[in-house]
Amino acid sequence: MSALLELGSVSRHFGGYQALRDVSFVVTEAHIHALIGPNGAGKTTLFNIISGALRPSSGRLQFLGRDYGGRRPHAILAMGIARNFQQVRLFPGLSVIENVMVGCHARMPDHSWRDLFSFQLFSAPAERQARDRAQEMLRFVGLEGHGNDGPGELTLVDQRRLEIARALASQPRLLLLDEPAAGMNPAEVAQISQLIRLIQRNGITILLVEHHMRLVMDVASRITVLSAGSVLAEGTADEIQRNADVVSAYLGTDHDAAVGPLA
Amino acid sequence: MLGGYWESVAIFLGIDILLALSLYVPLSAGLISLGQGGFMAIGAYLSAVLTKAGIAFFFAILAGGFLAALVGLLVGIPALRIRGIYLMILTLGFGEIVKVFFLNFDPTGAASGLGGIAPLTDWRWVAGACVLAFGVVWRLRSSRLGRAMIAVHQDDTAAEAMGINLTQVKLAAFCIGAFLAGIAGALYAHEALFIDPNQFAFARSAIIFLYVVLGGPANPLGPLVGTAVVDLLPEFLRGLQDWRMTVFGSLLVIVAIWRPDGLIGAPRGRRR
Amino acid sequence: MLSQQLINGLMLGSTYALVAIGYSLIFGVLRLLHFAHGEVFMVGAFVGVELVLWMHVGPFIALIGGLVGAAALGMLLELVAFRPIRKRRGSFLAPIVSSIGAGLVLQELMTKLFGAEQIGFPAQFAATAYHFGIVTVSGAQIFIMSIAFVTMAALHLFITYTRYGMAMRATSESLEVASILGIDVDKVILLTFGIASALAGIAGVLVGINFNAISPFMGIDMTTKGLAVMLIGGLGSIYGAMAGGLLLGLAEVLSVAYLASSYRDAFAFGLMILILLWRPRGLFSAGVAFES
Repeated sequence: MSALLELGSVSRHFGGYQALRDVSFVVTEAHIHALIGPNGAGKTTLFNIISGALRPSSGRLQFLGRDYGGRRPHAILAMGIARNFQQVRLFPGLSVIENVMVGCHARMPDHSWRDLFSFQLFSAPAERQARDRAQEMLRFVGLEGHGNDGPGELTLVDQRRLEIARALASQPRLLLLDEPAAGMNPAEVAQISQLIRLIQRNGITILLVEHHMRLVMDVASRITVLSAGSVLAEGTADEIQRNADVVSAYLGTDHDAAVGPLA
Repeated sequence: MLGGYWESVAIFLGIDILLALSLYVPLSAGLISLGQGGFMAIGAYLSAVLTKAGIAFFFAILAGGFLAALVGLLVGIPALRIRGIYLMILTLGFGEIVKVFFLNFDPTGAASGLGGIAPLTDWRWVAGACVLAFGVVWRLRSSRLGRAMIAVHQDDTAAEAMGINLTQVKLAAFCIGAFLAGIAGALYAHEALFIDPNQFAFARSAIIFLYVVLGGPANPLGPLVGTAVVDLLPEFLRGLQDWRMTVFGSLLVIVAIWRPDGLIGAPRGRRR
Repeated sequence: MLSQQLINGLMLGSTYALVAIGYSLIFGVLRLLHFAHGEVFMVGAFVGVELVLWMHVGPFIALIGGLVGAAALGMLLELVAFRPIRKRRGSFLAPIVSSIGAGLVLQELMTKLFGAEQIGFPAQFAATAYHFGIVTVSGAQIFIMSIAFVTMAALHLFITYTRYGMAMRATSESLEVASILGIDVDKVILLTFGIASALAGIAGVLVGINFNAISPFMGIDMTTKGLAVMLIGGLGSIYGAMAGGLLLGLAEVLSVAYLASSYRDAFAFGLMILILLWRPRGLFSAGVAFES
């Protein structure tokens, strides 16, 4: 299996505050890789650097063997990395299916100028295709039938699914998930877990930041633990659970899902 | 067709609808321009100069639109870095600069204005332009670019993360708006037959702003309704003589309080 | 001659500063572009001049009249044209429509009451000239500059050291947090309008004395330039408005003296655009959140 995403000594500081220090790891294709760590470890910062929302202060970011540090988020999406947002960011003025169609934007041909002068005769087939694909994505995440609803009418779980559907519509090779199970009860967490595994079975690699340990242990084939801005440990779910350093890094934080030795 | 006076009213109404749509497009991408008067001026002056030089009306109109769009590109670039209120004031400044430019530009008459423009505009030109413009705006809504504009407006961070090139979309919205305003200016010049820089000052841009915001900026019908109300209401208030504008101003305040989202409210999550 | 121009520029600039400070105060607290502020300025000028014409008062009384009249008008506008919208949680564009309407009404009413012609203060009003070496200033100009600077100093002290001033600053940081902390937000907003409008009223009387061209339409220019100055200084920044106003005044006067005078009005906006390109937040951004 090849390395899809590779981070080499990525560091980031904000003024005098060192948020990340020499973080390196590899995300292998077709795996589900989880990034965990106590609050303040720098997971969000790292996530934002990988997705292009932030620039690294130093270090190397490579996707499919090519450096991409410093690129704008839309160029990163075009490369094949899509993400969701921890605080769901949907477009309230667009319907559910239109939200997903925005995900198709980068994969649709750009006929803007021809559209304007021809009333979209040129792009009607592409538009139909995009709509079909969006419908397919809604079906995939279990939101079939909600196409014409307003996104505000959906439950939190469904809004998360919608965001994932939107990201999937862009045909990514790597899907970045930022706490997809935040704020959910155990039943809902199980649903998200199932969806994540389904996505992976369809050939998409996933990098997951999560606090729900059960979810992480369920789905992740590889886990990187971040603490105080550095990589503390890396390994399989079993290895991480038995790692004494990881356990002590978590003790003393009021974690809803961290139970004893992360059982 | 209609009696002379009402035909004139209809023509100016059509031109104003074009102006309203010219603000509606950038507004739906989240770009608030208080400088559409400046683009209108560019279209008016260029087209007048061209028809005086013998160029056909159709090409003069297009030229006015394209020059306005080109200037829109220049104005749009700094607009990429600034938001909301800042952009309003920046575009307001742009409109004033255009006015001062034409006040000093002797080849087009400077402060004395430009007269003797051929009366080439008639209801067919205006109606045609309106139908086309409205058609474009309506269809834009269900197109890739139109969705991208709404996405950029509502959450540009999420839009960019989904692959939308913010620069491209914002500039496109801004230039389309400038183009429409330029076209409207060209039609206006050949109906008013005399233009001077003060016709395109802040008051003009403010009224265009009213057309869209009063009607409701979330829906293509909004600008239509807003323009009709703002333009036609004073006609119906004629009986009030000198108190027309006072009543009109008061009505603006009342409508702003009564319908803060515009006369045609904002649809949240479209239904089809 | 240069020093003469500098004095003129500072004088003009300080009137711009007073109006722009008002815009900044209101924007800082309400995120509102108050398009009728220029008309409040105009009404202040009218109150001042009418007091002088009818009751033959001196400059200080005229000033106080203008100040009080404008402040009262400003607070009335807040109660009638803006508060109801706030209570209904409308979009941020609605208050702008309301302010445009209010400005229009004020212009029309003043035209009805006083006609559209320009009027001025009586000729001998503060006209004595004082000579300081190569520089000549009239009594009027001394009056204007001292009032302007005293006002700005007083405002600075007020915002920094009084309870109400601090309440205003808190409210401009965040309306919600201020009200949670027990600040009566409505009262603070009303006070802000009062102060901002008083400043505009003072500026109106000063400009009236300086240029002797008071008409119902004198506010329009102030509206657009005041906004430009506010942007130059940084939205919501009081000190930025002061600096920006002085800068603009100097730029305009110097441009008329040394460049083509007809481009004077473009200066405000050209300057604004240049500064925006260099520092998109304005010269002194107050760190005000301005996401629309």
